[in-house]
Amino acid sequence: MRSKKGAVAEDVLQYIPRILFLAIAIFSIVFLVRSYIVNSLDVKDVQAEVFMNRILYSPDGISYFDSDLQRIIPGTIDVTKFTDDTLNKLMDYKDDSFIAAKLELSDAANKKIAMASYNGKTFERWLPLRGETGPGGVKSTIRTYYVNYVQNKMTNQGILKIEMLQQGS
Amino acid sequence: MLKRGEAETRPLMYVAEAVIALLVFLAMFNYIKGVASNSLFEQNFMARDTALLTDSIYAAPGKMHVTYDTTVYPTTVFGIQTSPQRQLQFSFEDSKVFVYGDILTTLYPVSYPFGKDTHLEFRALGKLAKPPLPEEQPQQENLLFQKNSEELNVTVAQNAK
Repeated sequence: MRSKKGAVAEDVLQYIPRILFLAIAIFSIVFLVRSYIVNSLDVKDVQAEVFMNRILYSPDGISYFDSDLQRIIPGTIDVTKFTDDTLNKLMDYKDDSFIAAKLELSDAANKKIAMASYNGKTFERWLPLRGETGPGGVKSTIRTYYVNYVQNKMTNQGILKIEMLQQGS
Repeated sequence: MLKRGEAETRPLMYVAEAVIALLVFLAMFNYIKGVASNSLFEQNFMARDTALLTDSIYAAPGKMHVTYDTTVYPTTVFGIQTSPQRQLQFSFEDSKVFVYGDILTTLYPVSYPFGKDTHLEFRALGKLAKPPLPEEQPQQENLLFQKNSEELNVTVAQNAK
């Protein structure tokens, strides 16, 4: 027959797996709760879409503006407005290290028609970091649009490629 | 039938387990309550949201009116309200949206940049001169964005409801 001390010791030993199981259950709950709480906000993809929409649809952007209708023609690029100056005046973020972009307009045969950049110096500086992950990395977003472009009062078909860089991928 | 030693220790173990479970529940509840009552997340969200909204309004051709609700609605955990309804304060300066939550964050508000269109005049709320005291905070206010071919104007509008 076991003594009282023996019975208690055996009981405590039997509880060790139960306590281990309890610990696993507790950590699972903590992990689940923490994983459902969102603390960080990443709006880089939205920012990229909005940036490109501003370039394409804003009356002060690169799209052709019909002065008779007082509206832009979406999808039609005015080559005379396809400049660094147009882009830099269109969006003034006061911070050169927020967004940088490069635009290339080519004809249907892929021959370059015009190039423009937004924060051109920052774009060149960030190019080597493109694709690097982490806080020092640079996120690249590339979009290609089939557009018309107006040059010397003639409308032609072309391709517009926009590459946008944002710090911190 | 339980032996004498087992009969004394088992209830204690059950109580210990129940106490551990209760402590974990209370700790988690406190953590969630802390997260819910902290306005930093809402400030971060609204700073980004209004900055992107301003960018989107600039992108839109023609006239535009947008009303933006600045209320942070109360949150509940297991039916218990963990944070009250709050009103965040906004200001627009140097191509940045500043969002102020409470007195503690007034000195260091959360900000996010937007791209000002230099072709349009931008008129908006100035920077807050002093921390807004809880009793001074308006019950319900909205931000009203009004854009035409010449300017983008951001003002505070009282909510109709």
